[in-house]
Amino acid sequence: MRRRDLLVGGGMALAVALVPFIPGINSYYISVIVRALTFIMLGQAWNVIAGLGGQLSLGHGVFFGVAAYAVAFLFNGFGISPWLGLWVAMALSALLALLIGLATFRSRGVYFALATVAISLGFEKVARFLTAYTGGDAGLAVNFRGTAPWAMQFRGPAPFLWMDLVVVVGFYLFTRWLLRSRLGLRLQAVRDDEDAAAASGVDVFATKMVGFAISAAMTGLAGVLHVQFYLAIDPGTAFGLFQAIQIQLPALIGGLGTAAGPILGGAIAILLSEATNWWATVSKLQGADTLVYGVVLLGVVLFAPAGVMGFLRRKRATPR
Amino acid sequence: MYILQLVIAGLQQGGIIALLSMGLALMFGVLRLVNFAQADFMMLGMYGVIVLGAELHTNFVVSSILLALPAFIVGMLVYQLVIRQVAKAKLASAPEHAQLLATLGLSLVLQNGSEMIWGATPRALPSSRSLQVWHLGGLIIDQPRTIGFAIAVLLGVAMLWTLRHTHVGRAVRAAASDRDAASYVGINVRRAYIVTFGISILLSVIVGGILVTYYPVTPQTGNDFILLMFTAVIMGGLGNVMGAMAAGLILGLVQSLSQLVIPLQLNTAAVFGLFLLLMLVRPQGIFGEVTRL
Repeated sequence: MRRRDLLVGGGMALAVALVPFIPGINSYYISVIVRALTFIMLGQAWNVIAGLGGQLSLGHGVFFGVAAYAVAFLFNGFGISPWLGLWVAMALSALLALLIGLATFRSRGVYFALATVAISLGFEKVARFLTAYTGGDAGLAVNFRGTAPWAMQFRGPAPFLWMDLVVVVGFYLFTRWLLRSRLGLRLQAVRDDEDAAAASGVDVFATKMVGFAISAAMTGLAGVLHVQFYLAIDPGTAFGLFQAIQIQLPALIGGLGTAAGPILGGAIAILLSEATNWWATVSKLQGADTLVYGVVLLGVVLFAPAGVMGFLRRKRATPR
Repeated sequence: MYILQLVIAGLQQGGIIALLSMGLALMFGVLRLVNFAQADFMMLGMYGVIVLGAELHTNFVVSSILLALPAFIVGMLVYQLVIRQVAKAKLASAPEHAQLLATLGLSLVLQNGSEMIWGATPRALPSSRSLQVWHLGGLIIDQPRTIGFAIAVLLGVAMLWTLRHTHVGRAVRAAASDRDAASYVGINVRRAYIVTFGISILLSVIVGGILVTYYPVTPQTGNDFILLMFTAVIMGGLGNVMGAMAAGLILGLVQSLSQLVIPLQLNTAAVFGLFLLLMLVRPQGIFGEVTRL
């Protein structure tokens, strides 16, 4: 069983890693894979607090955006390499999560979800306003250095594919470990029944805080890789409501609270997004690409609340 | 004088938020449901009035009345086809999350469906009235906003009266306070839920009809209002209809008066700040959470 997982997972990762070596491959396809990997990464990060911990955060754009802005700001303003900046960005994201958690984890259920929406939209407004630091509506462009590995800038998208792949595999292994660890078990206990968890000695508040901070730091790393790949970030991409919804899709489609779910879900979501982008361009219909996200979100919640993983598990469980 | 002018603007804006929040509060009070798509139904109402105005040359009042029944029916359908089904599905986390996510999905569908139909460019009602004002002493009073405010107040009062004094209203209140007890005394709880959802959507659509007289509409217009609505509902105490209306008025004032101390672009951020402060110090709302409407 474990061995099969290792073979399948390792095989898939190897296959993705070798894609840039396909002779004559269009770098557009590599970019799509990079986009998919970022998407998966975000899903993996959100899954930690929402899937394992049951805390429906709709404000993960904050951690994504703050990390992206921080790295760009440190590089543009002080010439600090993103390789160093990413640690600062991740720490900042985690710290922010602790602050937000301090303010909101005392309340339960929908209050937390609503508060996180309010926070991310508040950040969007402030980012649009602080033009001197964030570039306002237009956003911030990272100073271009050409091929400069020390500045995490490369010719062609392939290095990002490898970096992102390493992170996705790392996040996957981390989630697998987390699911069985003490912290992970506490998180799942809080998700399933807060009162019962508290009664059996789980410090509910501390558990949520730690889970949230870890999830935020992971999201921050995705934000750093995103901004280094596109060399730009703007308030809408960083903090918009759409970003918050998008972050949830991989885990929801794949299966909340599972290690492999966000990977499957992210891959499916990106295929859908590419297909509808193409369809939207051909049919010249504005909004078609995002419409599909809405339909998928509705469809998953209504018809497949356990996601693809739930479907696979059910199949495996039925006797042949 | 300037302050008085801001107060008037704040009240006018607050009236709209109050009516919007009322629908949301009603929905939460009765169905325990947080509806992210509420403001998108308002957006649909705005487009509806524009389309009717262009096709039938009706003014916004007639158009809103024409839209009321379809809105009610659509609301009931959405409840039957989406909200009730979600309650049955089992998401890995809490059931209220499933509803929240479903309404988020619905919101995306409505916004982007509208974008596919009407495009992303802002549209406004081709009305000469939108620029008319009354001069009162040194004050400038915007006509469409004042008319809108008056309609909002009237509708709000009518809603409260309906809830208090009609058979349907009593059934809805009974279902809200205790669904089991209500069903024992012969109230059809499911019907009360459907009617509540329908009325709530109807209110949103009519607010859209008022708003479009002075506020241009894009498919994403709902996003400008959704958080104001939630803030008002939480301020008023979740499910407290009167509280939500009062909070809506207060929010309008805060938004308008905050210009005195912070830059105009940040006035929405001021509201969110207020929201967060509220979550910290008084999550049950200023007026307290009520189970009786």
